Amino acid sequence: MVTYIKGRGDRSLRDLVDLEKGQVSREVYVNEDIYAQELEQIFGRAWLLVGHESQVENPGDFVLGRMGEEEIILTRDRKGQIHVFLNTCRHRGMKVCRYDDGNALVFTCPFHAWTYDTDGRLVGVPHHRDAYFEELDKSQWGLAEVAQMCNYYGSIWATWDPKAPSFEDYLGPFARTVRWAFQASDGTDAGVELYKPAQRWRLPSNWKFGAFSFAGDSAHAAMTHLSVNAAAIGPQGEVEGGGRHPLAAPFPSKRGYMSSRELGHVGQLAIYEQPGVAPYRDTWLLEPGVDDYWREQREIKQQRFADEYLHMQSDGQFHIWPNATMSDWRILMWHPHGVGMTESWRQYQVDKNAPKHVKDSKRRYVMRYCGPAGITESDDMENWNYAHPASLGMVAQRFPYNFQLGLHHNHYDERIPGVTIGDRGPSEENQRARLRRWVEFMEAGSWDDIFPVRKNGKSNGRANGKSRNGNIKPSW
Amino acid sequence: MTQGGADRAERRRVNTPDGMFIRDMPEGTKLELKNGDLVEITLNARDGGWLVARCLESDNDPSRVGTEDWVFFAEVASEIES
Repeated sequence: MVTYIKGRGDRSLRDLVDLEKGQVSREVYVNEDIYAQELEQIFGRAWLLVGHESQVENPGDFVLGRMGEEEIILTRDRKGQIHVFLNTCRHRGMKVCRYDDGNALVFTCPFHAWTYDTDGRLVGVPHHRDAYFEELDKSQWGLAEVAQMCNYYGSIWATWDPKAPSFEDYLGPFARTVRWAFQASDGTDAGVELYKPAQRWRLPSNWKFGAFSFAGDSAHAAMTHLSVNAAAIGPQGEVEGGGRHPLAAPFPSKRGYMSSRELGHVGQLAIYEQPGVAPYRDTWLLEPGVDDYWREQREIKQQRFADEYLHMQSDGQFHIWPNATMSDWRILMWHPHGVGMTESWRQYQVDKNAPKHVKDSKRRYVMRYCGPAGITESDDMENWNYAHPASLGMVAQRFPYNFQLGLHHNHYDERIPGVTIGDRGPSEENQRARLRRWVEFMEAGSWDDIFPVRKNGKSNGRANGKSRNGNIKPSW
Repeated sequence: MTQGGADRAERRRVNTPDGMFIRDMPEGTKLELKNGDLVEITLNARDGGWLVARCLESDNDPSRVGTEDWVFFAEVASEIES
């Protein structure tokens, strides 16, 4: 257990993150001790996105992923059960799996050949009879498995902390938003698959630059993405001035920065003024035949949700604390890889039943938009790659970052309880919400200190029942 | 049923396998282990390291006959002609 850095000299973590003033010390982003504490306090405790069921469709399928700095194996055993294991042999620590993905009957360590079934059991130990004399209890030396795992509409999440709340409680008011992100375009739950493989690359910047900026920093776009907007990389080409996003039909709604201050999840999402779904607008003007598919799916979705208000679950992007940004077409993972390095992963959802030409057209679009060679994200990386080294200096660290945009200009809406809204122009409220949660995680001794229901013994006046773990369940 | 030393001597050893050889062995192949047990492959991991095999004969521990266990390639003495 890392000793809490409750004080650095006479300064506490709360002194480094002053959200009343909207000022945050650069040390939060560049200090090695703070980073080590993050691995323990945040990545050893929070629910983390580790993959999608479409990556392990068949028994024996596996794909490597990450939880914090550590590599994990997402696999489906021979009985069809999904597991998440730490990729390290219990004998001497060698990786038991060195392929990014594939299908295996067992994971055999290349070092001494300790061998694990896909359900994690240690099944093979050389010399077990003649030299261990069958005294080694193989049942005690299986692969290290996560404490909890959840398949949430096809997305796979895991935590190392057995005391973490259930995943749905962890999501709070953003549960519906995560569900939406994995629906097919006709509204069918768990109706997507991911393109394979994931894009992965490292960028020389602290993980929080990306993780805390996305879904909360629209103020950067006008300057940072000026050139890519002009380049018209969207599927509509130069129609109506081009741009980088697909065209959208108007629908009565109010968009804003929406955050759960208590849970750290945030989004740039919408509240709708009427039920239903916006009509489809032809967008894929450079790809003949593609609009036909999307239009048909939208019409089915319009019928399915004709009477429902899809608040926070249609259009926009969001971020699940601590390091997963997503929308209904992409997933951005920000893995820590040292205080000054982020391993960035991109994955993209597509309707699993879409025809090949539709899947191909979408893949081409996301590749020119996102990832290490994507034009839009290249703009972002340039900012973060230079902001990090420019914050390392002794003098530079005397000057805090400014998070005052939209400070104290938020409100609530009874249609989405538990959510703070900033909708009076650009706001950094979503970044402040994550920094607020960051402090709570960094200081907490256990989940009892940081899950609002357990912390207060009540749900801030919104309690209405008992959750699965016996705590009072909030009403969001 | 176990098989005594005389029967063991009558086994026709057709190969002395190594890891690469084991990797491609089909299910049903009979093997003699270095401890003398006779086993039959029921599942091959096809990684050159491990097999699942059912024990057919064992002088060392007759209770193993009929059970399946993982067999490491280095435990295999030879392939037995069926």
